Amino acid sequence: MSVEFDAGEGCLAALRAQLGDMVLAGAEIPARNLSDWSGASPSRPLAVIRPSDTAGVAAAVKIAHAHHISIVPQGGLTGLCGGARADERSIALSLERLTGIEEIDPSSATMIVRAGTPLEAVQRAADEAGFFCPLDLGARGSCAIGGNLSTNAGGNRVIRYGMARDMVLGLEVVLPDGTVVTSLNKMLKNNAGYDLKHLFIGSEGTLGIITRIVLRLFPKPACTMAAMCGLADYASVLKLLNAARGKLGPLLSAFEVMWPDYWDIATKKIAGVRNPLSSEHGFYVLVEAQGSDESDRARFQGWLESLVESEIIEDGAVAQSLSDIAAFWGVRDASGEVGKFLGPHLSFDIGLPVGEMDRYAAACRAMLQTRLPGCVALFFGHIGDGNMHIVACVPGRTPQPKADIESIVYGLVREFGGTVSAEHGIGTLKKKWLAHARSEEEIHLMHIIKRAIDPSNLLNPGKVLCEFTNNKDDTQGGDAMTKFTRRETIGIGIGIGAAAALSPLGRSAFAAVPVANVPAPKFAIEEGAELRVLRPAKFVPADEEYFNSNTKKFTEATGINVKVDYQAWEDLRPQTAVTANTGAGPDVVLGWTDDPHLYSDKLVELTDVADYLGKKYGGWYDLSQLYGKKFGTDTWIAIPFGGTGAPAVYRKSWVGEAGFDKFPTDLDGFLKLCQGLKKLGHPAGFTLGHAVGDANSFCHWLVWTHGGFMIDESQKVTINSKETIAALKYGKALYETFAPGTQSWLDSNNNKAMLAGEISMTQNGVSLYNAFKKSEDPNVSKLADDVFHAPMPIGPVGRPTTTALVVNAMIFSHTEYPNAAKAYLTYMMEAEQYDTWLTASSGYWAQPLAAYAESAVWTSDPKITLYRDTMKNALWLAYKGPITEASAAVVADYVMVDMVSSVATGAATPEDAAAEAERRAKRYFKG
Amino acid sequence: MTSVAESLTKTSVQPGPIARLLDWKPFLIVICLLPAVGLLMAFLTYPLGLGIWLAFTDTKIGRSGIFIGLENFTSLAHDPIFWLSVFNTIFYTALATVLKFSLGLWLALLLNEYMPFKALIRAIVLVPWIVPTVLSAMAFWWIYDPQFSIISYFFKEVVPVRENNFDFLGTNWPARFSLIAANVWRGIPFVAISLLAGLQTISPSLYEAAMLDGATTWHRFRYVTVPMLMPVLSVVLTFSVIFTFTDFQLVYAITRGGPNNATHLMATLAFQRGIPGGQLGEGAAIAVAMIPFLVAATLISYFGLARRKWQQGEDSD
Repeated sequence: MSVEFDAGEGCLAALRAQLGDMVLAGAEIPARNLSDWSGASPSRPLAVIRPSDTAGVAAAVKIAHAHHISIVPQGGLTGLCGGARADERSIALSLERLTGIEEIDPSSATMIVRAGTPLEAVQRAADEAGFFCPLDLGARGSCAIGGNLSTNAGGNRVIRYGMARDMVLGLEVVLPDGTVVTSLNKMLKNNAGYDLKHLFIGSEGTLGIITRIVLRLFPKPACTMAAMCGLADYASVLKLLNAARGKLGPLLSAFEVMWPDYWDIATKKIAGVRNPLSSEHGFYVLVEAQGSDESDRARFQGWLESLVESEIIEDGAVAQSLSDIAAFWGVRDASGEVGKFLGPHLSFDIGLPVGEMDRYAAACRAMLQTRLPGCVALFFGHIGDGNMHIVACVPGRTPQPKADIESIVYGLVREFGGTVSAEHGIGTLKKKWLAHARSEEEIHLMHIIKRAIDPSNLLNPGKVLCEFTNNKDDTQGGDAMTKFTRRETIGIGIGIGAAAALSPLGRSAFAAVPVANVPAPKFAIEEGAELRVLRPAKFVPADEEYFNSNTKKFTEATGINVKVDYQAWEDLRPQTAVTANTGAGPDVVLGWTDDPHLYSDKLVELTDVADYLGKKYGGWYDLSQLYGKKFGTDTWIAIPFGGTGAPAVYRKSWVGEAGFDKFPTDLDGFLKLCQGLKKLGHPAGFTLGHAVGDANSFCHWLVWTHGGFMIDESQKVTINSKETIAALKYGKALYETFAPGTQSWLDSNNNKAMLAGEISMTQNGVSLYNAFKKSEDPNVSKLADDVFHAPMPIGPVGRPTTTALVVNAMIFSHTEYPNAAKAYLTYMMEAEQYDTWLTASSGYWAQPLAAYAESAVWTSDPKITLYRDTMKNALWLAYKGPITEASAAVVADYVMVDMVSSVATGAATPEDAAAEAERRAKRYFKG
Repeated sequence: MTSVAESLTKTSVQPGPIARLLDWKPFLIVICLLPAVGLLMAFLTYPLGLGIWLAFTDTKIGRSGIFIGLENFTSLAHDPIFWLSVFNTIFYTALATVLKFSLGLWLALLLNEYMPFKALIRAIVLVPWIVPTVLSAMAFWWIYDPQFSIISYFFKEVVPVRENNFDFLGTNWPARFSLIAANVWRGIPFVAISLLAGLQTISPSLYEAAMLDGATTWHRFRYVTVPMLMPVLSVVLTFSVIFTFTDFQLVYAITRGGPNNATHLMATLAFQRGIPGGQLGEGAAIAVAMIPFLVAATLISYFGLARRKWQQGEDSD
């Protein structure tokens, strides 16, 4: 710090000694030199130097170079991207005194002008000499011609005369080391070697300081015609543009399109703006032509009439006077006032292929409004030049969600093959989006050029390109850039990154999954993002293995570190509760069933992720929607990740011995089967103890299938019904056939008993079958062939009534990196990852999205195919009511289980048990 | 940097105030107690206070609650399952404590006799106490398993006196007794070893004197051992009652309160409703409802048994 400070002092002394009163420092520095129009925070440079000739510029640059102090050139300071803002360690070199027209050469139609001259003065001088300077933009009174060139300004007449670049024949430039390169060429044709001037035009003062310019002058147009047209659709706009190009040819000087939302605000809300059209249209176009004599006026008029006749134009107004033209431009130029009317907003100047503009506008508006409800976006621009302006904001939000809006606008720009800056340049504000418009190779070449001309990185450092360290190693800057672009790439288009990281295994595994072509949502990933994920411990080892490898792929693709913690499944809910209560801990929790609903106000909304996945993968199952959405709304608060079901698991040979070739599908047959099995000495066994998973599965199936349910849609306790009593009576009859002790079984008892051959049938996930298959005891593993699965029978209610244990991925709003977390979840649910994991879990997990029903896993072993529809058919434990704290408490208190088990063991009559369950449930559903 | 250096030199030049301050006793007491008080506040007083506060709110997991006065307690008072858990807890504690003390005392007396491998046997006796509760709970869970119980196996296969397995946990009373047995098994060593320590502090000269006076074995036990053991007994009893009353792990691992809530203790019910059930306020209320019982049990065993009158008979006030 102190070294630099001394260097600054030394440099300042040297500058003062040589340049005297051209040097301003400290409090002498005028406010105008502290910042530009970009809205970047002002900063006071070490000094401001205001030379009045090229020699002065060269001297200043030389001194700064010798002291290793960076220089920031400043012109009119009307830039919108921060390119002329000098920081505290730089010297601002303002060209405001380097003004004046040096020469106008009528024979070659050129003008030599000094860089600091305001554009309006240039226009006036050309006009006085009988010529025309076509460069024109809103800031003409303040902006300097040197700045116009350094940013390669566009403006209103690009369609006819081209960008600023096309109006320049020669330049004089001071290089970063103080060398003056004078190349004041006046000839239209000059192919002697490299045309160096283009290096300095549009490079935003990073390669050299333009001091003098040879401008091309044009003949003055004799007359200006303008028309305001209303059109029905964008196809007509394109027809009009083609007709204008064809018939007006070189006369066409402006073609400005305004979308109706812009038009409405500009004509209705902005004082002093006159609406030249009486009716409303899909598009509004301002066409301007400049003719060389009065006969062109009639031509223009005739051309317009023919378009009205051919119904391309619905309605049009032709300017009859200069004040009409001014009024037409007033609507278009009201963009500044429209911005003020909206309050804090972001504005963009993007470039797009002309034909894509409306599609882009529609996509952009839709995405802004879904991601940022209430977002206002207005579109207008120089459509003939492929340049669109967007003004966007979410009214009332401070600060504006800049990152979100930018990532949507620029993300789509990349998708549509556009550019992030059509005319304003990159500066500092759009630096990070550069990679959206330029390839890695292009950016790398830019770095090489910058380093060749400014090896010490002293001229306008940190603008346009990311900083690089001045190292001999040629590739370093490039590497830094590569990293930057790769990160951005992934951050914005996660789907693309995912495809790139595809493994051959992944490709073959998800080949069967039908995928709709849906654009991936763009998440602006936060700088330095890292994630902590909490999920239940594995049921099968491959579950954890592939979850981890998918996570690792995500980290490799995005650079976002993800730490996954596994929690024993019974401890997961308390852990989730602690996370929710303390607002600390993991960013993402894959929690059980009810949890998203219990903590819904502490979660990040995931509608964008869910909509995308739903569209891409065949839609969410009903149960997925129930768990994922806030009850009764379309707001997603969780992404259901997978579910495990519990159909009947049985030993086929014993069921056959009991007289059933086919597993019964009705309750009578089921009871007879159980009685038969009991007689054989191989009873069935269904869990009735306080077992969270198995007992709830069985007891809820039993009650539901008879038509009983705990609460109705309005949370009225309805358990004490005749259907419930019928279920309890049936349950008692069934219980008589069970193996002894099932009323004290916990979750693992039925597995143990089944594996040991103590029972012939139970209800379980696919893990039990896998335990048979993988048993080290050959006597057990050979029994796997005898183990089959069947849906639990369907009773009077007429629909499957099994439950599914679902894990839902939630992003807690305390996370610092919601976008990274969304990107992570999206990535994990994409077929490349999800299907490998689903397949590896060999049926334990079943998908929440319909497309994965086609996954190869479901045909890999016909015995597990049944689990495919786990989430398609299942009900939730609060059925038919919403999932609430009360419903969760009723389940956790084993109200349903106790009711069934007390009747089964004879401790209570069905009527008493149903009444008791009603009483217990009502304790939680008060009122 | 400089300011620290300055203050250092100042102290070394003028040692008076700080030295005097450190010599001042009240200050020293405060300073020395501060860490301990801080730890107690952070790890005991605060959680206890928070638990009590929660009992008077309707806090749910994931949602902070508001003060609702005694509503939780009123609601519990009308909940038969809560009263069932209160009954279970008292029954469990009372029976388990009586068994632990009688068996523990008996074991202590045995161990106090001379026998070969005394040290080894004493070490083995401690095993149930040393083994983590969850492990012993798992062991008992297997022992009581309706299908795979080793006891059932023994009486079916080895000594074929039964045809069916025992149903230890399937019905109310057997389930309660089974859990009490597990608790007693776990708790005996603590009682036995503590009482053994107490027994060894009794001077042999007392027994010699009693023998010279012609006291029988029963007399020696009644008039020498028991009174001398009373101070130890009261402390051990206090701890044992507290441990048993607040038992959670055994029940949670073996029955989780089943069947039909017959083995729910207040601690397991508080957990079930507070954490998996999400009703933190109600769970806390159940836990707080344990406090009066615990205080009463502690007061009776501690003050009551510590009284000389109880220790040394009616007439030696």
